[in-house]
Amino acid sequence: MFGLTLPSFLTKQFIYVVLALLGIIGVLGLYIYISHLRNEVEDLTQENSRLSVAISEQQRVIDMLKTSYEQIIKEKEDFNKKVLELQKKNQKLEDELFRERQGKKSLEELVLGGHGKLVEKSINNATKKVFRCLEAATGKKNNEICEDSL
Amino acid sequence: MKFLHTTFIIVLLSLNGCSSQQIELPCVEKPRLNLQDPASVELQDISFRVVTRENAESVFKELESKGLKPVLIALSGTDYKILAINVNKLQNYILLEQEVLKKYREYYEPKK
Repeated sequence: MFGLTLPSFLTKQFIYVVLALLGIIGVLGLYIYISHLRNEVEDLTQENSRLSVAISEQQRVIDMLKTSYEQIIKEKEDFNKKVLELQKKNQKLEDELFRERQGKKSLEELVLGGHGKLVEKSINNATKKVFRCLEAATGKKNNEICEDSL
Repeated sequence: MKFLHTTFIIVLLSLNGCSSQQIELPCVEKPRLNLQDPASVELQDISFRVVTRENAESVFKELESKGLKPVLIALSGTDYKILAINVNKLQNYILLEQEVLKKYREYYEPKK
């Protein structure tokens, strides 16, 4: 047909042998490819477990940082409250000392009005209390006069 | 000359060996300072006297009767008030410093 003639070495047996060789090569290639994939799966599984450990470690660090930041915020709020409390107390003391600012008689006027002994007593009591509070602030215990110690 | 070449090669090889070495330093926690809190203070009481033109003489006599010199280190009413406020500010400062110290201790040295 069409005038084509096959070379003489292309016998049926030769073609079978070639096909068989190709088959063997194909099977070997497939085996090598599957082995390679298995190794890759094994490597990836190891990498996955390594990453899982890293993730759990990072999560632990994140949790720790979160707790620390929450604590920092709480401590700062507590401290600011304390500062405001002390500022209020300071204002109260100023109001008590500079009574004239509220339209009341000043301490000097009270003394000149005949209440010298009363003013003296209240000044000495207040001084005593301040001293006890200072002692308490430096850590002295069992101080009943001062309630301001932290 | 051959000796020099050999020495050069040995030095080069040994340096190359050093560069590939990794030095791992152990993680050592800094030792704690552990300073003791200073002892609390004990303050002696004092007594203020309110002196006016009317009672000045009797106050001085009272001092002498107690064996004290008739001298008063005096403050005006305003100065007394300023002194009281200044002492109060110092007291507040001490209290806040103590609070800061307490909070640092709680944060960095939590009770286990």
